Amino acid sequence: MRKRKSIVSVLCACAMVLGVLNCGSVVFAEEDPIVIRYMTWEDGDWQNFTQEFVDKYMEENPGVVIQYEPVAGAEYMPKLQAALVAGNAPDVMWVDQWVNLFANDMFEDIIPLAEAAGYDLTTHNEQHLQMSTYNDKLYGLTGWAGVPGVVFNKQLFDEAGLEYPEYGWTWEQCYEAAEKITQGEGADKIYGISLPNSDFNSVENILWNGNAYVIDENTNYEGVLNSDEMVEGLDWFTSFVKNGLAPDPSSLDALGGDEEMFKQGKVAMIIKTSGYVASVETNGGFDMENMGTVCLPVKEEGMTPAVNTLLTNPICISKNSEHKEEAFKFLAARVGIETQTDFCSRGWTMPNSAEIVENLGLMDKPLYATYGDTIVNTDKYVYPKGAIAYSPMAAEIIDNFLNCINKIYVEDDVDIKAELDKVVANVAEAEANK
Amino acid sequence: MVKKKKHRRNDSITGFLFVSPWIIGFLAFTLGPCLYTLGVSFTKWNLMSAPVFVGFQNYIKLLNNDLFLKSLYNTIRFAVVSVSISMVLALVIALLLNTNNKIMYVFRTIFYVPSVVSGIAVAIVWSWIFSKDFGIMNYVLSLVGISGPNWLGDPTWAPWAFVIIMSTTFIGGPMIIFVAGLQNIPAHLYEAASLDGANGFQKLKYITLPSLSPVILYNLVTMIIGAFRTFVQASTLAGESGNPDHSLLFVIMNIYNTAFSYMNFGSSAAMSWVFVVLVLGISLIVMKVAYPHVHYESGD
Repeated sequence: MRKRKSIVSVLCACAMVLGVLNCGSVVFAEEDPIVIRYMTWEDGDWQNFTQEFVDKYMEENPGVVIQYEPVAGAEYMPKLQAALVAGNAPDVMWVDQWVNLFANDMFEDIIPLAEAAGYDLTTHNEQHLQMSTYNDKLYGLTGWAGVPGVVFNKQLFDEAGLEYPEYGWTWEQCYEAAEKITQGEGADKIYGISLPNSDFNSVENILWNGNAYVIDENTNYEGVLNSDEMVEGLDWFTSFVKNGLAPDPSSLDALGGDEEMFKQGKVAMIIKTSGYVASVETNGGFDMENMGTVCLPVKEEGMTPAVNTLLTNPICISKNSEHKEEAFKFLAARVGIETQTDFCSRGWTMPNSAEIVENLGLMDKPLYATYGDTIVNTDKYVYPKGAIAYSPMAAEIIDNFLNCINKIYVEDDVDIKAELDKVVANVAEAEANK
Repeated sequence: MVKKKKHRRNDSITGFLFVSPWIIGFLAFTLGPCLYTLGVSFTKWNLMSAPVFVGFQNYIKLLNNDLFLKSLYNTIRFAVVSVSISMVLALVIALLLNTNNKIMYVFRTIFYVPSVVSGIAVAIVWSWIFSKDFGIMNYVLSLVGISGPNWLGDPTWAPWAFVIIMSTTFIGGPMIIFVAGLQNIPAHLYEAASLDGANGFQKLKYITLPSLSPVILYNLVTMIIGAFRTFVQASTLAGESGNPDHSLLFVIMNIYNTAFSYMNFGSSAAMSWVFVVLVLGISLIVMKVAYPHVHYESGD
């Protein structure tokens, strides 16, 4: 009896351990297909699109199985980092916080793979290629571009007797418009503008237009992030909230968020990419005739607007991939003209090449032309280096810089220069400890 | 005699085999990683290049790490204040609900429901309540002539707003445990006290609280540990950086950021171990101090 009990317990233990180790699903195939694992943080429509693309790709490429692995946003990078270190990263993957990963040579260089496949890299957006290059190695390709711009409510401008903003409009004009439009109190208040708070890329892009940079061309932040131009820039940027022309960031969620407030006519200007325009167009809730878009304002008349087209991410190939050529073929298909045209035709984001912008007729649609113009007419804009895309200290800079802005909002008579000096000191200390 | 010993040994083996999946899991997924983290805490490691042994440097640097010290201060202050308020509130509500009236089942459910609501929903509702411009809290204060603060935007007020949120929303769990403890107190003790002429307060002091003391200790220790582990609610409400001005940055959030945002795994591991020792120490002190006052039915 006892012996039988022991045997049963051994079998139970083995069954449970096997269950944990997931050894129950062994598939025997006559000929093993090439399996390419593809990991992204997509959800919703984007995930559905990718699933359709993957299915189509497998149909067209028999013998190749694409194992699509979408992972929820916040868990994505820790999971990917662990997989990269453990040597079991997916073959093709989206990458965030890429600067440190590129610096440590964690991905396959795309250039030899592209050359072997006869793939023309010159069709890709120059800024995007530059963003994905480190030590002369190209670690990834992008499948779209994201550009922040100003989306405005024409009706509120009309009611305030204001002309609609146009390319080259100034910080002063922006402030005056916000001042004239802002009216009412409490929950019924209409705000002139809502500025981004946690979206660092957009905050940085707004400040660029006052010659205020977070990092310079060589990715230095000392003397750049705490420059006089940045002091002036932040003084202007924070004045909207401090003077009640923009909702306080801590109340924004309670007010439904800036996108919902815009739809309800509670805010006249918001900083958004073309994806927001498309989502309102698709889902309704706002009269599109009343919507206008314009590039970000510049500090002084005659300045060339600065834009950030890098609200995107590189798609990279694992160094440990056993099928690098096949992985590149899949990547090339994903970021290539055909798929990118299909992807961007949904309006979720901008294409990263002028050819696709024109093919999709985006320059003929005034709401989208504002964004497309930054891809097509590159001589009309400047493209500084963004901290997220280029600085190995991006995480520390973002945390300290956004905290500094919040401090300026809350404290009266705050010394902006002193606060920026603290940001630089904190980042420098973190860099020394890295 | 030999046969008996053999049977006992077989029994032990059977027992160990039955619990072996858990033991293997514990060793592989809990104890192993814990010890690995201890090793990592003595290195400088960004995950991508080989770790470099730095001895106690990570621990020493923590003493001058303002952000870590701030997160530690935030966490301890939150644990002390929120656990104190939650304990008292949960006990008072449990005492009020400790009758076997049908309507009380409804009230128990009502008080418990917020504990199972998603943290994001809770954060949104409270952000309405605490809104600077049109929140209920500032409206009520304005009725008595007080101009309410920017609860969630001002680093002076945000920690207290968070204490209010946590101490009122999530008391359902300890309250239910208190109610269960109260239901187990034998009715004859109250009957005897009534015969002796004890009033309500005396019954509370001499019967209810001593009889409930093991449950109070249990709730106290679990709530302290829970408060030290605060992460989701704070990061939902204040972002991963715990702004404004890191006033809602708790140690666990700091450990996560240091590892996965700043890629400083050695420092993050050192923080984790300091924190483990701290929580363990506080829990042991609480148990040591409270134990003589805890009354067990056996008379221990």
